[in-house]
Amino acid sequence: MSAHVIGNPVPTPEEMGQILGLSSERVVAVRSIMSTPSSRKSSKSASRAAYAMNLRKKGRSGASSKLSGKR
Amino acid sequence: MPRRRRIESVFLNIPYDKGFEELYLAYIVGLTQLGLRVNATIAVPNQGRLETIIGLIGESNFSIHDLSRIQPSKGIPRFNMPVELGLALYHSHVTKGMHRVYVFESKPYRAQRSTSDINGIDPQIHNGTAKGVMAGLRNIFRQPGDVTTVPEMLISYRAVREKLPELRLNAGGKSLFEASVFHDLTLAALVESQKLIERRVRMHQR
Repeated sequence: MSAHVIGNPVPTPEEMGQILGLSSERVVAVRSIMSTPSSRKSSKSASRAAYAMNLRKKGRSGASSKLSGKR
Repeated sequence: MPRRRRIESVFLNIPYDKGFEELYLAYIVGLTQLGLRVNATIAVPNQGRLETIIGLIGESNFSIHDLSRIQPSKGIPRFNMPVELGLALYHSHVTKGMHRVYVFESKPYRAQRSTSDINGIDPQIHNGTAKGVMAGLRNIFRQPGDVTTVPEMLISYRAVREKLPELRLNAGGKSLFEASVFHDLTLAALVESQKLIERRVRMHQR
């Protein structure tokens, strides 16, 4: 099977925005999201961190949290 | 008003559900970074759905059919993907091969057994991974000069995946399969594509 050579260059986000009928503000917003360095950790590690934090709090106060009380 | 550029497009026939999110994202990033517009049946209402699907296939240069989801959903097998593959094959037949049909699977030789009518088509095997999807896409599509590589696509894929919460929030959609989120994922993949191009230019200048 021979590969198909695509006849057009990769469009810019602005060109694709026009093709899809999106506003230029929308393109700017996505550009801004993608250019902001990610400060958050991945959801898995974030939830692990929150769990660890809860355990520490629980240890300090000696009281059980609402979550752990529910069965 | 500036003229809209015409770019080649691909009809994407995949399961649109939570279990397929990673591969869905891989298809969008990979196809977009190869320079293709993705036509998908996202947000197509049930009324007139078949006509819309036929229209989307008709306006696409290619179609990709992922037949890897064979497990029943809530006890019921899903036949939408094979139905859409049949529509695309017929369209390819009447256009004398102008519309090209590609099949993706997760396991080798399974499509030949599950859908033996398409034994003339060699499926691309993605093994259920984003890397496999991108390798399959690079097997069937080339850019003039062979520009974007699979490792580069994977870097972009990870960058977009990391920004999913923000992109979803910005588009106001709960699911990745909503039209607004789908459009923003396409734009995000192209922003990453430009970063790749800039990186390449910097490397050449050194």
